[in-house]
Amino acid sequence: MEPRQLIETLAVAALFAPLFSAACIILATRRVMFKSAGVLATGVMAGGFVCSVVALVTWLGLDDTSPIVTNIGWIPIPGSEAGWLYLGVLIDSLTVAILAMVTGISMLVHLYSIGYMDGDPRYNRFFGYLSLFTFSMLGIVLANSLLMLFVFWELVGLTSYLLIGFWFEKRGPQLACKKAFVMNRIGDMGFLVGFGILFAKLGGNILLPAVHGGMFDAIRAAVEAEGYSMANPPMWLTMAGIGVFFGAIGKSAQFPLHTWLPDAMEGPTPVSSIVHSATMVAAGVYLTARIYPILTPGAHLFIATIGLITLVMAACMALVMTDIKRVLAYSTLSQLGYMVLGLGAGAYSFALFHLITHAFFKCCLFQCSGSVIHAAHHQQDMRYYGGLGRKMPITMICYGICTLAIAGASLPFTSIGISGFYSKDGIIAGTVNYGVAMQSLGSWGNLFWIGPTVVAYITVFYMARSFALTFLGEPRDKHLHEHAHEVPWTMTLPQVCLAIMAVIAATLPFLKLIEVSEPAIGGEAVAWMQPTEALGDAHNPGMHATHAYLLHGLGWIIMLVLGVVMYRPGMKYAEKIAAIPGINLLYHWAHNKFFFDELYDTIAVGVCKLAATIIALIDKYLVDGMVNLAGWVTRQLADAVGLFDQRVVDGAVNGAAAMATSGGQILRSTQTGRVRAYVLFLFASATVVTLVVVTVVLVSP
Amino acid sequence: MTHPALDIGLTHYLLVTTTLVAAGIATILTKRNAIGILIGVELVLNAAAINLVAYNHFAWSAGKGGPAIEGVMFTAFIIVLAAAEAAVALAIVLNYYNNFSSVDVDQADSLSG
Amino acid sequence: MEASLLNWMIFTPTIGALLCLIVPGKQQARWVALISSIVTFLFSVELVIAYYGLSAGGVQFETAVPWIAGINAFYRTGVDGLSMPLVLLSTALSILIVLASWRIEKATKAFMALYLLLLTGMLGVFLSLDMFLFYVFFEISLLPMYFLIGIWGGPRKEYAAIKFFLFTLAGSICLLIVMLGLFFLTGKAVGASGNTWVMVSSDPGTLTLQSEAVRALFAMDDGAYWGFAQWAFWLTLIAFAIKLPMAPLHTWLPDAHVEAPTPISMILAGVLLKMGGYALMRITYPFFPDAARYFWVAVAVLAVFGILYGAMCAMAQTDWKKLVAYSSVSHMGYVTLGIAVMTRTGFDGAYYQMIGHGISSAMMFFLVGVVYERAHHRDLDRFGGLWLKWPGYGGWSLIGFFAGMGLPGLCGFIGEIMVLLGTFEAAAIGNVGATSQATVYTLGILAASAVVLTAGYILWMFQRVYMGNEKPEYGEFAALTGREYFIMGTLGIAALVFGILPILVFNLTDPTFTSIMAILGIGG
Repeated sequence: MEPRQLIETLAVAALFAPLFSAACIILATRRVMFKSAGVLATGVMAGGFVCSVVALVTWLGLDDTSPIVTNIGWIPIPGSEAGWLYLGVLIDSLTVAILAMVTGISMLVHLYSIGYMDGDPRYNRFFGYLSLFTFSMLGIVLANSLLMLFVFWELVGLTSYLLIGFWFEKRGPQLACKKAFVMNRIGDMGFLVGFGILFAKLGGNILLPAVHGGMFDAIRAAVEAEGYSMANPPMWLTMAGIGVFFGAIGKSAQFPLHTWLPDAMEGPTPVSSIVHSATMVAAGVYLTARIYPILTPGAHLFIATIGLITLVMAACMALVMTDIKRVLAYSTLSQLGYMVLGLGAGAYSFALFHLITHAFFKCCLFQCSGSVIHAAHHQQDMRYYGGLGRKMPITMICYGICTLAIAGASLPFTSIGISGFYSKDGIIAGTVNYGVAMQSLGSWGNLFWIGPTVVAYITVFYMARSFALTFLGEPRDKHLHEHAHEVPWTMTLPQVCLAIMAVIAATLPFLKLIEVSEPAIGGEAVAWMQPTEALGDAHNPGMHATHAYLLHGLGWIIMLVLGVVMYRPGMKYAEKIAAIPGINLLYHWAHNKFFFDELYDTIAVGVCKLAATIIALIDKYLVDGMVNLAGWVTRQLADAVGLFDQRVVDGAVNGAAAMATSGGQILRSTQTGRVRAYVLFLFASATVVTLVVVTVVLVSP
Repeated sequence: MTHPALDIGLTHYLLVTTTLVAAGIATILTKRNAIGILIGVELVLNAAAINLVAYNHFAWSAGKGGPAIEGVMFTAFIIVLAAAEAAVALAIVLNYYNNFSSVDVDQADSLSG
Repeated sequence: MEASLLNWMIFTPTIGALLCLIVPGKQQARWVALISSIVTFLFSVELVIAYYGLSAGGVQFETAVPWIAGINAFYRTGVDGLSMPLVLLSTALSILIVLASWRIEKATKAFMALYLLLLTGMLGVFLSLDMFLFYVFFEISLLPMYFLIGIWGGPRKEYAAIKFFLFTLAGSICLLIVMLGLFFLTGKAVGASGNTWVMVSSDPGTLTLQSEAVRALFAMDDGAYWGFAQWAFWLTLIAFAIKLPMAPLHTWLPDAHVEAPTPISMILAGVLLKMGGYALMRITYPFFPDAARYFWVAVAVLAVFGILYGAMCAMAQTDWKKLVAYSSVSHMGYVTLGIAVMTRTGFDGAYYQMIGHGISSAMMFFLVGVVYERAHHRDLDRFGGLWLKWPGYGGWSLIGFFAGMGLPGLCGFIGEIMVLLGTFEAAAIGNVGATSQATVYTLGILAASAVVLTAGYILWMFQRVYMGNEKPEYGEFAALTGREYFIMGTLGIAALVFGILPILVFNLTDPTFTSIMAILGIGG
């Protein structure tokens, strides 16, 4: 088979493989398939992984690296030039890289789930959902148009809803899954608006990637037709970019829609490990990368600001959490903030590279935390841990390696480090350039690099804290410690694989693939959005020009040691520090997640529910009341008319009769029957008549 | 020519007949006896007859300038009519008497409404 | 052959209705109803196949028989792309609804007979091409509904039935006024051609009573035409907006739904509401496109208001069925919006939304009915854990309610997104006159914000009903029957199929919509 065709076939096979297993598992009854569901799903997923790895390798051997595009008309748009809204497949170097990462991690999570979900009454259904979830994510990765992206975007929302709410008997997961979906929907609303604006301008031509003859050319034509240029873009383009990015804010849990992500920890830990690493949260970053060329400088600034706020805020929260999964959740938020900031700042390649490296070490960290929770009988509070390293050495080593990876560990004063070092460094280098480029903001521009640099050290500290609290020191809960044990191989194997990947990811060709896909490198077409165009060094992982990175080599060690020393004996130092006046307020604030939940619950949810109640009351009493009032008035009117008819109209008839009767009664009395009386009348009348006639005759002339 | 006081004109006749009519009506109104009423009726009728003859003599002939006979003819009719009426009336009175054993007309109020 | 088939299709249910009254027992009546609805469905399938083969835009299989000579009324039936999918939806749903009413024990014969009569009315509405005939069928469909709600309904059935009847009758009166206006104002011009009531002609060459033709009937006296068109537009809009229903003319709907028995709710939401949208596309907009363009902002604002208002009301309900009823108000707002913005995408989307909502709302009402039959209440706060009780039912519910929510891959999505895209498209294409882009964007953003509210009330309901632990009283609930699974499954699969293959509908509608767009003066 021709290699490009082979790649496409393999990618499509990898896409539909999890759908196939999901369909089998969901349609089969429990009797047909229960225990075998895990094996089936994992096996199929492994097949998908093999497909995507083969595709990746084949891609690396290609001379022609232009994207492979297949468009299939889905919804006809007869008015537009394109004629259709398309589904289909788009494969470029970014796609193959992310595809391999997603299928690989998904396979490992499936494997891990076999052990973790063992004994669950809905064991088979879990694998159905998990495979469906992977399918949705792969759909996003392979999407060829904004529409297809949105379709799978929503499916990711649905499947994450099912997975987070998997243990729906309990109240926590119920609320968490609902919150996740609704928060995502708020982002989707923005996505829809951006989508709508682009559709209005481009018709059906909303194909990805935005740059390679897809919608970018159409946008440029539309922009120039309106008398603007790409260097001086119109407002609607910025709005569209920010709108679509709102979808990413929802999925990647950026400020201000971040609150669903920590709550999503209510789901089973394998769910956390896949949602927070390779799939759902990655989708937002991936989306932003896919629409990168249409993002105007204004949109870039917006994205960078959102990323900056998220990464600082989340790091502060991670410092004070005691639930092991919540620490990791906030670290995910923070790392996503790095990626988003990187994309906003123009460090496209490193942001996406960080997406991949982060996927490996964060997935591993979650799996390790899951193993710990599994071993600790679902106790998630780190204050009850301590000394678990002796019971679970493999888990501890994996967790340790990934802690180093997320810390961005490197040998001091050199540029040799573990995978996270390269990616995070690249982002920080990009932000330094961005901060310099954003002179228009004055000294505020410097926040764009100070923030990520400082947070890099905070990251080391809180990761060291969680490591020390969990694995080091003396057991703080003897009972828990006695029952702790190393988890079965189905759970340790994926951890080990992921830990290895976390170390070596930088040596794999991911970065090279991503750089090829970078729109800025594609030519001058998108140079206008690159305020950091001059950022030559950032493209070379070996070169880190700013001394911040050289110091970083020392810095991370200091922070690591500090974290370990401080938390090895448990929380006692931390509690003393937290009690210091002033700091205690900060602590309280961070511990309550900056009160975002309360804010949203009261303001957004509360107002919404209140408004709904009020509107429903209005509907019931005012709108419906009007209708009932109209009915009531009509009835009253009818009564009145009835009364009128009875009294007046019919009364007139009866009155006439009554008058006739009474008149008759009066006349009757004259009919005495006496002859003489008649005669008297006769003559009296004759007299009167005569008198009248005579008078008239006499008086008249 | 005769003395004006002896010159009997229409007015004198009319005064006589008016008196007769008044007497007749008074009789009719006051008498309860049917025969009395009949007599009253005769008086009225005869007053009319005299009236007609008088008119014939004075008014009609004077107006036409020639002999007139209409008033006399009417009078003849009235006399015949009076005879017939008297016959019928007496028949009614007889019947009335048979039914009520009286000729008191006030007892006959069965037509009262 | 097809033309006679089409007429047979309209009156097969009537024959069935008569048979229902004749047969001795309840069981026989059920079978008669089932068989006649299946026969009707098979007829419609045959029609679709024949129609597909023609792939033409005009009216097909036309019958025209003089009816009332004095007013030029014809018995004129036929089918085109606008009616074909809705006919198929009606006939297909009708089978499921007979099945859903299998357990009706109270006066079964009368129920089935009335139901079949209703079916005739609905098919007649979709298939009549003569406006007078349309009006007659429009009214015919009203009366059985009144009895079906008023006799077999819930505690407040009389109130609901009368409200439904009077509301819809008020709409019919509006339509009648317009018809009288058309007849008297245009009497002279059309006397000869005899096409007074033709809504759409099979022969594109001849004048039809649409747009230019209506204008021609006024002998190009633009002043008189415009004055009439404005009034007539609003009157017909009100007539059909009541049926649709468009807020704030919707209040008959929640009461009717809450009181109606489950199968009647299904047909009411699934098909009867679509008569309103169909008539907007068939009469209001093609007849008075100038007025439509002139008033589009007002209509679109009402539509967006309806979307948000319905969603908000749904969120506040504690009665499960009322929630679904209000979600109908919200979803039908998309239909109005798609039509109001007068873009091709919007029209397509509005039409698809009707098909999608026909499937998903029928399914939602059935899902509610299944539980109501067992629990005898619909209080959302008293449920919970139904997913554990019946996992299969929970799965189908997921499909049904998420189809209502507009999840991609299910039938609600395509209509919704096309309407939204069509709304934004209005800013660019400018069919809707010189309204500023800001207005269009604002409307689009508000309409898009409804996806959050929709997710909010559906998920909240889902949490309260399906999630959590089982309640002790569920133990007494009878297991779901195969009949119930069949209905849920059919609707669920339909929701999936129409969510994945929109082309199934658009292939049928495309040529017709192109000609409607030409009448509206819109490219595409």
